[in-house]
Amino acid sequence: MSQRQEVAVSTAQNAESLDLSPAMGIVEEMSPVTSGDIIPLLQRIQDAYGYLPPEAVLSVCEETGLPASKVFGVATFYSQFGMEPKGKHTVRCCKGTACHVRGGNRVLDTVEKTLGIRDGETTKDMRFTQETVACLGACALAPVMVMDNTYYGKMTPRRTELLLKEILKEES
Amino acid sequence: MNKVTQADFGTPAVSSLEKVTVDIDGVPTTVDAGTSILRAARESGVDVPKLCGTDSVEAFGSCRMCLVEVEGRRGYPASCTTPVEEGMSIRTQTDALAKLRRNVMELYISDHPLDCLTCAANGDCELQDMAGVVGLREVRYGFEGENHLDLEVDSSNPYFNFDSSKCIVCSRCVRACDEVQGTFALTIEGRGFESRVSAGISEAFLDSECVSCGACVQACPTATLVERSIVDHGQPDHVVETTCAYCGVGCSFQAEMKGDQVVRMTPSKSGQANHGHSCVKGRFAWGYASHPDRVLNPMVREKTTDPWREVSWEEAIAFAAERFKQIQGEYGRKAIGGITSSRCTNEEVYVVQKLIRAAMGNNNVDTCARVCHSPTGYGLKKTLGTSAGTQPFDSVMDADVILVIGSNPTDGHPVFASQMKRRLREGAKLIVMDPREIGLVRSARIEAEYHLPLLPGTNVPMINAFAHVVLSEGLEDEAYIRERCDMDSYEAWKALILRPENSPEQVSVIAGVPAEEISAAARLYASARRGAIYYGLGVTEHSQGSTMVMGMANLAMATGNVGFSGAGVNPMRGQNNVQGSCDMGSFPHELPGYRPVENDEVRSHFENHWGVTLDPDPGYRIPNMFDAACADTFKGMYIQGEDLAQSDPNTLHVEEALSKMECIVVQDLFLNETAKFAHVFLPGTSFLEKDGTFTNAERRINRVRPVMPPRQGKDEWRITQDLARALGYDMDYRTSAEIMEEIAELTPTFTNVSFELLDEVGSVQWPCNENAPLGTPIMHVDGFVRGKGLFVETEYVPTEERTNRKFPLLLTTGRILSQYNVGAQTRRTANNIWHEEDLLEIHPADAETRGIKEGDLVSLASRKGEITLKATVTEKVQPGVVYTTFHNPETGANVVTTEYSDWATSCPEYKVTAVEVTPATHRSEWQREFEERARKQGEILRSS
Repeated sequence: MSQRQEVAVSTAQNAESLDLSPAMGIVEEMSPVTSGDIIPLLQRIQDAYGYLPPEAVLSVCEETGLPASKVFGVATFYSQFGMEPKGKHTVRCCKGTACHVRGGNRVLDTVEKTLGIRDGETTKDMRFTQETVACLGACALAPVMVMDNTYYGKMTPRRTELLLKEILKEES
Repeated sequence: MNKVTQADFGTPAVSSLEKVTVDIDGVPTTVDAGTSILRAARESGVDVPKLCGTDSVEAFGSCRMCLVEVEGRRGYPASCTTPVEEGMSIRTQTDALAKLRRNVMELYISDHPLDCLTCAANGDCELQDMAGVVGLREVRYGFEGENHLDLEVDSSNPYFNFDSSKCIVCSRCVRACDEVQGTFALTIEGRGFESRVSAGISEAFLDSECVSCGACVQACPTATLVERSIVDHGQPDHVVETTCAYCGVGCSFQAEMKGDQVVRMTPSKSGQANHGHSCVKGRFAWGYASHPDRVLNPMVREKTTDPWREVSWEEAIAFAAERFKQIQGEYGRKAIGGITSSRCTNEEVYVVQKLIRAAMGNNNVDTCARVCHSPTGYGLKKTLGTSAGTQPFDSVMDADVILVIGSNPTDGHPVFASQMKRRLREGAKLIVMDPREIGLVRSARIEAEYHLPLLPGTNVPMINAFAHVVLSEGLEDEAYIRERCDMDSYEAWKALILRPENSPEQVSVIAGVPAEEISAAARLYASARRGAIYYGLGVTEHSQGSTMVMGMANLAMATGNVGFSGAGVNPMRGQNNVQGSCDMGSFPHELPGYRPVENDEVRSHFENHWGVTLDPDPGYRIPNMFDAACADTFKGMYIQGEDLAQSDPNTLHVEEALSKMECIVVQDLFLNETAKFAHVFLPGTSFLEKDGTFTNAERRINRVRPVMPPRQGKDEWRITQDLARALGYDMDYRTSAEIMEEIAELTPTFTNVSFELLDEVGSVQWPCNENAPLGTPIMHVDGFVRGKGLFVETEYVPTEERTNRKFPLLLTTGRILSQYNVGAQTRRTANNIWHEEDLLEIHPADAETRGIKEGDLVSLASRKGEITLKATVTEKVQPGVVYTTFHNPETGANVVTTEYSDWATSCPEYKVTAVEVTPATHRSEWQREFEERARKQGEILRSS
C-alpha cells in the first residue's frame, strides 16, 4: 500500500480521532497561503498538533494548492519538524562540543535509561519524546537539557533523574 | 560514441537586445546579456564540465563541476549561475580547476555504484562522461563508509525505473517536473547526506502526482531515471526526427533506433511546437505499432458473417473496386463515398479525397473532423476569413489573460498545457469556462481567477453575456473595431447583444453561474492588454457549436484581441492532423484549401490538373451517409483510419447504417469496431512507417519520417492509388513528396511548401506562399483575411435535448490524459494502468439521492440507449451534470449520445445528453449484444 493510500485509510479510520479543524483554521487565518509561507504554516500546524500529522498536511495541501511534494520536502529538511506523533513532553539533550566536554553524554544516558527511549523515539505512553541537538547556543550553561521550552543548565545525571521523576510523579 | 544526444548548452537561452562580449580561454565571444558563462562557453564550443545544469531548466549551481576562473575575481564561481559581464576574461581550464573538479568527482563516485559496464545508461551517462573528462583515476574514500548503494529500485511506473542508488541528487528531475512540466510531483527529501529525490510524499512514482511526461527521465544525467525500453534493448545507434501522431500539439520527436527497432522516443529540443517537452502518450505509448493485434495482411469476405480470408493486395483491391463498381452500376454514381482520417498524413488524406472525387466521381467525402472541429472551420472562416486558429502556441507566453472554454488542456493537449501553466505561474490570469473542474482550475501553483461552471448547452448565452458586459460598460476597443471590422455587422450584433436576455443577470438563470462572476470574468478578459481564447470540443460539439465559435470571434474582435502575439482565438485540435485533413479538401463541399466545389472556376482549376470532370454538387456529410444508408440509397464506403462505429454518436443508428451497406472497406491498423461490419480490410501503417506531413493546431506543417518500412508492405497512399487505378482513374505518384508538390501547386496557402523546405527549416505554418515564404505564425496581423472582420449575430437557441423528470441529468463526455480517443492505440499500451475502464463521474448529491456509492455499477440511460459502467463520486462535476469518457468500445458511451448536431456543420452534440443514472446489477442489453458480436467476430477471426 502506498503512503498516500495508507494516509487515506488512516484518515478514514482517524476521521474522528484527528480533528482537521485546527489545521483548516490556520490555513484560513494565513490565507492566501503561498509557497513562501510553508515554514510558518508547518510551524503552526506542529504547534497545534505537537507534530505534523500527514493527514493534516495533505488536507492543507489540498486546501491551499501547495504541492504535497514541496511541503514534504520542507518538512523533512528541518529538524524542527516531525511527522510522527510526539510525546506530551519533549526532552532535548545537547550534544554540542561544550556540552560534550562537560559530560553531556552522561545526561543523555540518564534520560535514555530513565525513559527507556533513544534519540528520536517516543515512550509508548506518549508522554516523552527524546531528541538530541547539535548546539542550543547556551554553552555557558553546559551541559544543557531542554524540557519542553525550559532550559536546564549545568545538568548532572542526578538532577536529570530527579527532574524526570518529578514530572512522572506529578502526572500520575 | 553516442550519436544521438541532443546538444545541451547547460542553462536556458536568454534573449536580449543588449550584447555582451567576453573572453573565454582567449577567444572573444559575444552573447545576449544575461547569458550564463556556462552557456556562453558551450555556445562557442568550449565544453565546460557540468552535472546539475541542463538547458531545459534554470541554473542551480549545486554540482560544482562547472567552476571557472574569472580574472579579477576571487575564488572559483560556478559558471552556470554567473552571468556574463562586458569585458570578462574567463578561464575554463587551469590546473587548479582540474584539481577541484577531479576532487568533486571523486566524492560523487565514492557513493555511486561502479557497474558502468552493465548499467542501462552506459554510453549515455553524463556522470560517466564527466568522470572521463576530469580524468578521475582513483577514489580514495573507499565504499566501506555510509552510502546509498543498497537503495531499492522503484519500478512502479510501467515505462521507467527510478534507481535511487545511482542518484547524485543534482535535482534536475525535480526542477524539470517543476519548471518544464509544472506538476511539482518531485522533491528532495531530507537533508545533507540523507537527501534523496522523492516522488510526492516519499511514495512510489505511480502513486504520486507524477503524470509520466518523461521530463524527469529526460533530465536525468545518470541511469537513476531510465526508460525501461533502454534497459531492455540498450542504447540506440541512430535517430530519425519525426512528429508524434497523438494530439493536435504535434510534438517533434527523435525516434531513437537500433536498426529498425524503436528503443526510445525523445522529444526534440528543436521542435517548434514542443521545445523538447512531451507527454506520456508521445514519449512512451508507441508500443501499439508492434502490438500483436495489428493486422498485416489484406483480407476480404463476401458477407460480414463470413470468416475473413487473407488475400494478396491485388486481390483485395480488385475485390473492393469490383464491388464499388457494381454498386455504382446498380444504385448510381453517388451510392458510394469515403472518409479521410485525421490520423493520417496530409498526403494520404489528399489522395483519398482525390480518389473519391476523381475515381468515384462524386463528392461524398467527409472526415472525422466532422465530429470535432467542423464548427471551427465554419465559424472562423465566416468571421475572420480563415478556417484555422490565429496563433502559434508560443504566443501564449505573451498573454496577460487566458480564457479557456470547453477545453481540458492538461488531459487533451498536455504539452501545450505545460507551456500555458508556465505562463500562468509567471502571472497571467486564467478564466475557465467549463462544466467540470478541469485540472487547470486548481493545480500546483496555479489557480484560475474565475471558474464558471456553466450547464452544458449554455455556451452561447455565456459568451453573449460576456459581450453584453463589454458593450454595456464601454470596454470595447472602438478604434480597433472601426479600423478593422465591418461596421454594419457590428451595429447589428451590438443591438442583439445589448438586449436584456443577454445580460449576465438573465443568463445566470439559464447557465447556473452567478451574474457577478460572469461580469467580473468578462471585465478581466476585456481589460487584458493581450487576451487569448483557447477552446476545444466543449465549444464545437453542440447544436450551436458554430454559433459559439463565432461568438468567441465576435468577442475577440470587439475587445481588439486578434492579430498580435498573446491574443487570438485558438482551437485546441484533437487529433494530430485534424487541421491538415480539413486543409486537404476532406469536406464534401470544399476542394483542397477550403475552396467551394460549386464554384466553376475552382472546379475547372482542379479538373484541368486531374484530367477529369468533377461533380459540381456537394456530397454527403457523415450523418447524411448514415441516413442514406438506412434508406438504402448509399451502399459502399472506403473508410481510412476512423472507427465510425465507436466514435460517432447514436451507436444504434450507426450500426444499422453500416450493417445495411454492401461494401465497406476499412483501412486501419486494427480490426476496429467498424471492421466488424466490413467486407474488405486493408492494413494501414503506423506513424513510424509514414513519410509525409502532419499539420498541427497552430497550422504548423511538420515532417513525419519513416523509421522503418511499412510493416504490411505498402504505403497507405499507394493502397489508395491502387484502388483509384482499379476503379479506372490513373494516379501515378512515385513518392509522397510528389503528392505534396501537387498540393502546393493547387492550394494557394501551400504554394511554397515542399519536403525540401521542411527538411531545411524544420516546419512552417501556413499560409506559406510567395507573400510568406517561411510561413505565417500569427494570422490577421495587418487586417482580417476576409477583409473586414464580420460580426455575426449569435442568438441563443436552446438545444432540443432537454432534461425532464425521466432524464433529469445532463451527460457530457470527454477524454483523459492516458487514453486517446477511441483508445485503439493507447488501449494497446501500458497506459491502461492509469485508465482501465470508462467511469461515470457523478456529484455526491446526485449519487446520494440515487443510492450510488463509489465504484458501484450504474445504468446510464438516455432517450437513445442504455449502457452500464462504474460510478465515481466527485465534486469535479456539479450537481445535475454527469461525465464520462469514450475510450473503451465495450462501454459504448455513444450508445447514449443523440443525433442532434450543430445547425451549420452537423457536428454532433456529444456534449449534451439528458440522462438518468440508476444503480444496476447487470450489463445493458447493448453491451450484451456487443459482447456477443465481439465473441462471434473473434471466432470468425480464429477460424479464418
